Amino acid sequence: MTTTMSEPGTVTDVPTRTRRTSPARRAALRTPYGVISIVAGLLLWELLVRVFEPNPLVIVAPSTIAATLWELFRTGSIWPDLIVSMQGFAIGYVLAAVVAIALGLAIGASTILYRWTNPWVNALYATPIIGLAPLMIIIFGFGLQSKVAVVIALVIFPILINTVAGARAVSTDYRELAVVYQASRFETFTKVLFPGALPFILTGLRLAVGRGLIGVVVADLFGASSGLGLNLQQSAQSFDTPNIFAVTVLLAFLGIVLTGVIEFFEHRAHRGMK
Amino acid sequence: MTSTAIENALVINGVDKTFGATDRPAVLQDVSLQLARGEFLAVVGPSGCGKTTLLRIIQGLETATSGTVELPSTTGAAPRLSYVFQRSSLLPWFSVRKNVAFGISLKAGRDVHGSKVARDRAVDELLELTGLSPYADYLPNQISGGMQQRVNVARALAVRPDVLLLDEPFSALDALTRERLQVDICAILENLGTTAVLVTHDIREAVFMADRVAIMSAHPGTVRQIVEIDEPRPRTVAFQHSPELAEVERSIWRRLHPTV
Repeated sequence: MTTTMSEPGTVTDVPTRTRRTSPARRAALRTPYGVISIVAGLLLWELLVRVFEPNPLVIVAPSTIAATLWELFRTGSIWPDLIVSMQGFAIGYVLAAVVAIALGLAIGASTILYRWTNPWVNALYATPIIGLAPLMIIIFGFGLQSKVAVVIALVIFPILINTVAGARAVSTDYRELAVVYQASRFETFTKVLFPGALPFILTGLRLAVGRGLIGVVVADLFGASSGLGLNLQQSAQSFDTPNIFAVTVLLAFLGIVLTGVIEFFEHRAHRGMK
Repeated sequence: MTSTAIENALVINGVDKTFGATDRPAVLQDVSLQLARGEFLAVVGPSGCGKTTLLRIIQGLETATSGTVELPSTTGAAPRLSYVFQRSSLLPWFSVRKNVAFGISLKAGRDVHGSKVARDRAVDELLELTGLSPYADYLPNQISGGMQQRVNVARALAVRPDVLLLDEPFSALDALTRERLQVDICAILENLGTTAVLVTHDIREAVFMADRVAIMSAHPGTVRQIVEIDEPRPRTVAFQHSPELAEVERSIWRRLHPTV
């Protein structure tokens, strides 16, 4: 920000700096490289498939995937699986986020709690907890509950670890401020630690999206009555490669959209912290 | 209790402070000071003389190894302290207005001003008093360093402190802004009748703002002398550059540099 402000009666001779950007550079900034790259990649993929005609069991063209996706939504056959998976993801993600943020702030605020829990949090974050998915199916059955449980198990640690880091990064100045004004513990959490840790928390939430989507799909592979993972498994068993690609693209789309939304808020939060 | 004891707003009695092991050299040794209600005391001394530590002990951010800090109360209510940090430490996610209102928006400070309306009015008045009204809805990072320190002071005053503690509040500012803030803050404190302790390494600032200047020496940190400043408050810009001030400043400077 280059806003310069003068106090009444104070001489300010700070020259206002305008950022000069050359026309070429501005044009470059406006060029949507990302979109161009993806479109080019898809065209290349399409072209290669049409020219070399590989085994359709192994790979299909983007146009085929698009057509399959269209069919899935036109006939509505995808909805039961999609809804169950999204429910599992959403419930698990939100529950995990609430618990991880509250717990993370508490751990980050207390040196003793941090010392005792940090080894566990770090170890569990690094553990491929997905290995426990079959156990979840045994405990919670083939329905929604087991998906929720697997999503929670996968999502909770990236959010927790980032919240802890965020709360610990809140400057001592701000903590002392809470002491001087006799903020209650709850007020310290809501008015100082949470907003202070927010950029970190959002990073955790963003990283958790991908893991949550993996969780909800993989949970199905070990047994489910419906869900996108089951849909994938059944497609594989019937050698329906276009359907596998279509569902994967759908999952990718969900991940990209959710990540993008969180990223937007993350940028805003970071800007507010400067 | 005698009436003079009641008139005191702050009594510091034989405060010692040692960090870590007791065989370490003392940071503060036998510091005793009394402040009358409404009085402005400045504490000057070389860096490392423990003046900031003294302020933190008064606030309760550090505990004294021995000795006491008393805040005699006239009303029976617990006396209120507030602290102006060296760095403005404004919460970057709150607007200027919300930062000023921070203390009184908390449960502990809510009853300072009876109602929500009274709280809002108090904040408005402080914004006006500190010249911040036009910037009420700005975020801290959108205003200058001088403005940020004004918010810092306004926030501390919003809780109507019995004693205001100022920890080198102007040290990070340019000379012009600093002098202007000294005049303004002086007038505001005089206006509100707030008792204040200012810790500073700027002798000129101490002489300009305070009724009395306590001179500290380091290793161990202790009060060597207290100088009365014979100049009625509120202090004016004329006093800021007067030969009288320069004279007192020089004599204090000489006491801090006895070997020169």
